[in-house]
Amino acid sequence: MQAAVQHFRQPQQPEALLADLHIVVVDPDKERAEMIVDGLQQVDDARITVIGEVIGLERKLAALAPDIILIDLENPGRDMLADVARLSNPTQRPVAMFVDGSDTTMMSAALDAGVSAYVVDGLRSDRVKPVLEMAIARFHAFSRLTAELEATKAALSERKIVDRAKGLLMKRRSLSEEEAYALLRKTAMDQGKRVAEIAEALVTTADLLS
Amino acid sequence: MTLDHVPCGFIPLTDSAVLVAAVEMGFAAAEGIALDLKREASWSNIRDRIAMGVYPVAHMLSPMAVSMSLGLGPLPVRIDAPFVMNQNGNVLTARAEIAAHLADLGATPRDPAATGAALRALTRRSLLRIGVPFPHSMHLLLTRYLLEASGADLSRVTFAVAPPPILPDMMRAGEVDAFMVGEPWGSLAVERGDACILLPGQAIWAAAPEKVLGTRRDWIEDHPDVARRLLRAMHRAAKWCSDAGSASVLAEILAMPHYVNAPADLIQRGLDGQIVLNSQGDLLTVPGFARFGGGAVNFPWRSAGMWIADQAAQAWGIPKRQAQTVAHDAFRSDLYRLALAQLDPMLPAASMKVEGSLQSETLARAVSGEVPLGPDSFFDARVFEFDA
Repeated sequence: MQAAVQHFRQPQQPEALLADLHIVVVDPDKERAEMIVDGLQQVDDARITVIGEVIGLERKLAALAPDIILIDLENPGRDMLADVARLSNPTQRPVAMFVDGSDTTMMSAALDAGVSAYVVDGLRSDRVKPVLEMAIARFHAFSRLTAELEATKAALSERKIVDRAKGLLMKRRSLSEEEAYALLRKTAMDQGKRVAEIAEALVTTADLLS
Repeated sequence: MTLDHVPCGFIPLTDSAVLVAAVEMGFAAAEGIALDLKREASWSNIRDRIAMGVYPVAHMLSPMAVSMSLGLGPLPVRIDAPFVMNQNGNVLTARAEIAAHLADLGATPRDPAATGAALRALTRRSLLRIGVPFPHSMHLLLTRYLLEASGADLSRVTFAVAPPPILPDMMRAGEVDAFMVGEPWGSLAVERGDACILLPGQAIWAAAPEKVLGTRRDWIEDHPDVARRLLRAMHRAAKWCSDAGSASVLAEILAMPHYVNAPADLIQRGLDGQIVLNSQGDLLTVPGFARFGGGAVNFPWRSAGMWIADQAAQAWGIPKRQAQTVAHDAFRSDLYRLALAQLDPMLPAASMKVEGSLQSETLARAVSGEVPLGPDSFFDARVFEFDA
């Protein structure tokens, strides 16, 4: 039975502000988690723990008693951090989502990047900000990497399609490879489309007719 | 015609039906609205993205509209509920061995009082962990109401939170003993063979406002015409969803990967009110298991909002009177009237009612003629009357 689900630290403990931070990164994606951990180590001598599995998150967090929790917005575990402990026992001090009361730009930047931070009540915001800033930067970097990887994959598959379309034209219309590509390019230009789109239409049509 | 683009977050649940039908059956487009539905991973995301203005409107737990308007949560923003998307549609589900134990203690899905008494008896012997999808939810309020009214000691019960699709996994992993969740996630747990449905949520309160169209108040003020057309589209979609003849098409649409992403036959159980209770296949027919429209189902009774405030204020640490005033103002029956005056002649004449007094369908005075109101009784026959 887990009673003190979100009771991570007693209030008024001065060492909570002086001691090194304990940061928990909740992320099922190992590569992204590594990138974030790597970044955080440059900010602080923080102790960092990564949790990948979302089931049992509350229990694990209660045992770890972190100061800051970083969690991806697409992680369903965010709702597990919701303020439910207080509903069962109003004396417990909850962990709350970090919001700088005076300025919502950071919150907005975090949501854009796809990350949120939860902090133990009483943690000074100047200790949280550099951690969250680093997480935002790393989330952006990871998204860029993923996007680049996707683009490379797409480009590779586009090249395959164009090669197949060229092959079809060479065979059916006895064209050279250069002539086949020139025909694809001209058709694309005439129709205001990309070469890959014309190639894909041709390949699909050929598949349907074969 | 250019359409007005309205982004809207939703959680994969059968009760996203009215939003999904508004898009898929063309009701939104017919009102000149491109309703852009975005599936979200958590209620926290819905809360934060509507607060940051990413969404002007969203699929929302009714108590969230009240709690957000009260300033609870990271970013306070005034949220209105001008439309109730559905009444009920939840099930209280337990691990098979817990359910068997409760049955020995007299629990039966046909009798909420007997099930409540069995839960009280169980909590005397052992602690009970119950999963709910969000702290600010009807799930939590109705489960607590059932336990409290049955005389159970609430200090023997802890609540854990996880989004609906995760709750069956939480139970399987032994993190909770039971959970209250919107369909089809209770039926999915039953289908996996390790869970039994204890009670339909409707048995606790027959007219519980489950989800609302959560709407930023400043957006309504800035876009009164779009808001009005959106409510008209929702009204038509709700009418379509509540037609029994739509159920199989609706189940197929909701089953799609980008909506609920669950088998259509499981979704259909909740739409038909034909609930498979356990892996033995015992069937419970529940008239009004989930109501999507018709009568005054979508009407945001100010008194229903006040019931939420009445039940939640203490847990939220807010004076009851203040919570009730904010809830009364958030359930925007005035906007509902304004938008649907031409479309729906059977608008209720009143905006408040005594909650819990109707045992069966009853005709009430409408703006023009009469409107049938469905049963709204509580399992313990309590009646709630609030002052505006």
